Amino acid sequence: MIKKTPPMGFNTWNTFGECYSDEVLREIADAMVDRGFLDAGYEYLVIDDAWSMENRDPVTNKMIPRPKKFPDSDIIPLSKYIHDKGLKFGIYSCAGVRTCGQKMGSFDNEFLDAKTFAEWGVDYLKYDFCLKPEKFDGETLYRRMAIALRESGRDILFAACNWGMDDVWSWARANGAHTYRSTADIYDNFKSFTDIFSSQVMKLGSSAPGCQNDLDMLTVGMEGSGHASLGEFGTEATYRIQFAVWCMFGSPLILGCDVRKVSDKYRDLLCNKDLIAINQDLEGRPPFPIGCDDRLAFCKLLADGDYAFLLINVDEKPNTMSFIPHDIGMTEKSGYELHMRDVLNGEEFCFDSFVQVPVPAQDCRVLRGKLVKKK
Amino acid sequence: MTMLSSLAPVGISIARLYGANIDKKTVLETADRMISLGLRDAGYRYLVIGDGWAEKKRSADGSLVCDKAKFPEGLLGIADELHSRGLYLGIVTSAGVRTVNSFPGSHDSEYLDAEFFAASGVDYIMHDSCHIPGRADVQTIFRRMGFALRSAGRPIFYATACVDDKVHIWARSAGIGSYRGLPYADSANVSLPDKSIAGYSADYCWHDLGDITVCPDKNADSLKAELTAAAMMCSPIIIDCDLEALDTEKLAVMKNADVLRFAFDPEGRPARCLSGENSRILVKLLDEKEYAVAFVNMSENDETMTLYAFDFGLTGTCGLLCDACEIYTAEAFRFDDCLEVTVGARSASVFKVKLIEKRD
Repeated sequence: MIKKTPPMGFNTWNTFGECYSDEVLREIADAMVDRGFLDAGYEYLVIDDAWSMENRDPVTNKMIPRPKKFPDSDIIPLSKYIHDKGLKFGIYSCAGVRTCGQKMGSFDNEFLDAKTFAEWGVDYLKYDFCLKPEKFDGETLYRRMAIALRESGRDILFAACNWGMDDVWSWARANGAHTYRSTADIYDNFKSFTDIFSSQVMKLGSSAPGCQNDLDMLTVGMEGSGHASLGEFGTEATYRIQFAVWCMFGSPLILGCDVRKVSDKYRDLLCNKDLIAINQDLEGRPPFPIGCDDRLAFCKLLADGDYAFLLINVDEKPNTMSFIPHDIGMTEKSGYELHMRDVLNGEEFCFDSFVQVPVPAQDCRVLRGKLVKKK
Repeated sequence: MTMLSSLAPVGISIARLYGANIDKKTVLETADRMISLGLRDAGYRYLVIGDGWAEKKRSADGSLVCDKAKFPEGLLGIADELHSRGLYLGIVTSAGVRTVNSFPGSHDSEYLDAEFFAASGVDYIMHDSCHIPGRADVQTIFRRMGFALRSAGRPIFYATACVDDKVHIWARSAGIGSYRGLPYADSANVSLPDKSIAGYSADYCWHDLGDITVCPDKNADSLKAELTAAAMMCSPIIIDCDLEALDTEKLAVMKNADVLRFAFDPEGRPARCLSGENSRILVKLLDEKEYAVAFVNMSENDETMTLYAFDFGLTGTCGLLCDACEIYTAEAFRFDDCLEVTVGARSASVFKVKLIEKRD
């Protein structure tokens, strides 16, 4: 059975779009290991669209890896290289007749393609939703591929990607998905990722171990370079907000930056143990919004009895963010107080009936701690 | 590591049967009967004893007090007895000011009561909505008990019956272990869940379809339908019954190894309803390349239902067919087109399914 915590890895799309090669992919694998990403938990190396030809093999009907990307149309050497490095191998297909990049889709060939992927040592399948026959039920296509993957003979994580269509929150888990994309694609700018997570704040009730709401690949560290660049790419602080939100919300953590070139500063952020621990928490409970201005404060219950708070200040000036613990279920007369620590800078706090935390402009703070009996 | 088990609880409740008149002798007799009937070993580990263990008044410092006339060794004493038998202790509590039988409710005493429950060896509370003050904020008080339990130092399963049609949106974030969604189940019948929210049931926070009540005027088929619905939908399974009066047919339904295997499946995926309202075709994806298919008829008439392999998820070219075996009758079917089943009123036909290669 596949691990139930949110998957972590890298996907080619945000940086490379359709333009990558076998050599680049090996460099990515090397960088994931050498730069500490694998140690931090990023284990899936996912090849997005455009690995496949526009047509199938006329004899076997199997999908064909593009020979210009994979010598002799053989992807198994790359798969082996990835596995030998201790990584897992992810690939992409589509529920429709063609992928979004108009390469071959899996419609009506789900079982053959799942078997093929298993033969190639695939561990993860991103399954897109372009170009499906209009009158064909989308949910059925996802259940089909989920069953096909199960019957393939290999454990393959099923990352559904239908962008929140057909009320996917209500059936992703039942139909065998491990993660499900719930919005349109992300771009490397502040508005894009904030629109994405804001739209999902009240839609995390079905995000749980074994099937998570996927907020899309991270753009942290891209700094305007790459296929998913669009407009102003934001600051270190806004990238910090993005990563903190993805961790608090229990989304899969799929890197979109070029892991070979991303700065050490962003590598360190993306590998922050404390933030990742919040994301990988065993109970995988979603956060709930705390009644602050703009509802940009969240509280998440963690498996060991700890609490995590995320406070986001979108203003252009520093703010003191505050809330009343009674409103979230803590009481002063209970005899408990909150002992919290900022996971990024180590500052400690003790609160009982009123929480006040200064937050820099357009930045965030993440606190973790517990309820402790007052002496 | 979390303190809690991720699985939904499975057990017996005597809360309705005995109400306020519960005592040590009754609890231990029930516990021993759970063992002698083979229910504990089949997986029924929780024994929910209701609210009648408490004194009607709290002590001077506001603590709950166990009625020593009924339980001379206190609540911890009875918890120890159950634990030594491999069982878990469950009680019924209230988010309001009084419980169903007018014992003290936990409103505004959540932290004190959670500490008491933890110190008393309690493993499960069913926290319901009796006597919630009209001006109280329901979400806050249910979340408060969730927080209180997690600070008290003992893994206690937090079952809830909260009257809020949006509870499935916030329950998981509040530390809740199970919630009763729409339709709000009454004590007599398990209802099939609203299809738009049934899929939210998942590890650590399950959609509870309600206690399964077994009584003389409900036959074994009815028990089968409700138990099947609960197992397929990943609901906790708490069977409200008099173990002394359990006939062999009903006991066999409760101990069916396959339906319990569906309930305990580690993937914890609720079934998807492919069709129907009062009578439904449910498909559940299990671990280890197995599937459960249930035809559940909650209506008052016989129903003929047809499962299409296409709807299940097979294709014309996949080269596979369904190999289905009914878990109560052992009837076997193989099909790649459809399976037509007639199910009696308030009953179920339940199949464990594997996909096998077609041979020419």
